[in-house]
This record gives sequence, structure tokens and C-alpha cells, in this order.
Amino acid sequence: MQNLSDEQLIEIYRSNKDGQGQIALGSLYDRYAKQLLNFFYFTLHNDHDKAQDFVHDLFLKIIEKHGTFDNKQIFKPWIYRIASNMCKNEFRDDKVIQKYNDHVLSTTEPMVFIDETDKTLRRCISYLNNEQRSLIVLRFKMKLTLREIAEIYECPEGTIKSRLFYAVKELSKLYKK
Amino acid sequence: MKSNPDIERVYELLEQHDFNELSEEDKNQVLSIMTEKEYINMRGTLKDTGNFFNDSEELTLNDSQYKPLMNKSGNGNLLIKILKKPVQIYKAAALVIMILGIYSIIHYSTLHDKNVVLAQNDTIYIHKTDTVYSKLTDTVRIIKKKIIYISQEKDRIKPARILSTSKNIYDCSKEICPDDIDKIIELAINNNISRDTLIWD
Repeated sequence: MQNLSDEQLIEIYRSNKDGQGQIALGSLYDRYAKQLLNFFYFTLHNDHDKAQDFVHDLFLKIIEKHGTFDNKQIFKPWIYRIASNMCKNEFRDDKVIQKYNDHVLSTTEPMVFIDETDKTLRRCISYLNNEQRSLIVLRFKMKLTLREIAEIYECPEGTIKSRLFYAVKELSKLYKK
Repeated sequence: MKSNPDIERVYELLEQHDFNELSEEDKNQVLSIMTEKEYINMRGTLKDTGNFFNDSEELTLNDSQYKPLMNKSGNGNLLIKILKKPVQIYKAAALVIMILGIYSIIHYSTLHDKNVVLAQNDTIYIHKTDTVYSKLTDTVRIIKKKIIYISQEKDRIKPARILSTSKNIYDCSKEICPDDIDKIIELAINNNISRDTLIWD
């Protein structure tokens, strides 16, 4: 299973070929769960429990809606698109945004953020809007290429560069205040 | 958001170069959009952001999540999968109404069948040429010692009907009346039908 591509694994899971479906899904989980946890953690204002729940929910979505995956697609942008949409839905309500902002203000700094610069930067990233924050996390934490991010958002690469430009500009304003 | 080729190019430069590393042409392009200070600030922020994420701790998942997730994976029992699917209230209500509708249709159609059976029980069918088999329900007056002789030449005989006792008007030209019993007995005697063959209810 280790040598198989993501697309081959999801196909095995879908067809449950030789009863290998669960093993294939397990391999996908091993490959992506940790990445997605980090994505959710930084996108959802450093809420670890929430991030874990979201990873769980995302894999449930894959189990329930694997039929929506097109074989011609690449798996990685597909799974990140689901993750990104989950975050978008989460921040649709203003009350929820307010709740997260309160969470950011009330959270005590974890030990890993003992550096003052990191502390400031983390808060500044939290103050970005959801899309800008997701873009920054995808680019600088997940280290996805611009092309991969463009596939997630289903738009041209140039558009992603523009959006990132404005995200960094906004972050820079907050950071230098 | 409209794509702007200059901004796209400047973003590429921001990711890769400090301001003093830029060529004159690139500097001019950058300065057409922002000041040098802004570029330096954004470049600094971008570097710090990269470092921040590089230094941030890699989070780990709670292993206990894995097992229940696998138990829910799609290759299990179909019935359990269906039962576990969340159902909206209006769908459940529609289902209940549908079941009740089907039940009432079946119920009424069965009732109709029962009525037909009752009606048939009110009818006498002649199965043999010399014997009448009558099956009478309790809604019909039971006539004992009753026999109808039908000649052997007749292959098919229309069923005769005995009126219910609840009706007092008999049309004896078409239906068997109590007074016909004597005639029937006489017919039986004339045609050598033994009294043993009479049907006693």
C-alpha cells in the first residue's frame, strides 16, 4: 500500500478490492491526518480539540462521499478543498467568528510560542479573514505549491498569487502595528 | 478578485528576493505598486511567517480517533450504514405517512375481498346434476332437506340464489322459495333420486 498513489488508494477503497478497502483508507489517513490537523489547527485559531474533530469529520465525509471524487482529479487538492470548505462553513456565522476571536484573546500561550515575535505573529494570523488565513497556512505551513493551492480553490495560479499578496500585505499591516 | 499581472509578479519577487537583490527593472515594477519600505516590511513579514510555521510544533493526533473512524468506514453492513444515516424530520414524517397510506390501501382492499366472499356465500352453485350443495351463512335462513334436480342434459346451470331472510319479498319466478321444496322433492322422487342423497345441513 505504501507505494501506491493517493488516487490508487481511494480507488481501492471505493471498490473494496480483495477486501483491502479499510487498509487503503487507513493508508490515506496515515498520510493526511496529521497534515490536516495542522491545517485545521492554524486555520481554526489554534483550537486543538476543534481541529481534531474536524479531521475526524473530514474522514467521515470521505467515507460517506467518496463517490464524489472524480478519478481524473488529484486527491491532495480534493481533500484540501473539502477541508477548506469546512473552515469556510465554520466561519460563515458572525457569532462563530466572535467566539473564535474571544478564544484567541483568552487562550494562554502554549509553551511552543514562548518567542515574543511568534506570539505576535500567531495573533496577527488569527486576525486575518478566513480565506487569507487558509491561504497563508496552505502556503507557509503546509508548503503547498501555488499550483496545488490554485487547484484547491479551482482558480488560476495568478489569482492565488494576487490573493496571497493581499493576505501578506494585511498581515504585514497587523504585524508592524 | 481581479488578477493583476504586476501584483502577481511582485508577489513572486516578495517570496524570493530582498529589495536590494532586485534588478532595476524589477525595482521599477515594485515601486509602481508600493514603496520600498512597504516591500521591505512585507518581505520581512513573509520571512517571519515562514520561520514561525517552520518552528511551530508538529501536532499529533489522538490515536483513539482512528479506530472508531475505521469502524465507520464504508465497507460494513449496508443496513447499519443506512440506519446510521441522519434523517431529517420531514423525511421521517413523509415515510410514516406513506406507510400509513399503503396500510390503509391494503386494509380496504382486503375488506373488499371479504365482502365478495360473503356475497358468494349467499349464492348456491349447482355442482352436480342431481345434487345441490348449498353453503349458507348465518345471514341467510337455513333451509334443510333441500334438493334441486336438474336434468342431465343441461351442462351449465345458472346459479340459483336464495334470498336472505332479512328480505321478505320473494320473486319465486326467478328464485327458490320455501314453497318450492315440495316441488323439488317431487322432482327427486320422479327421477329416482334416493333420499339418502339429500343434503342435510
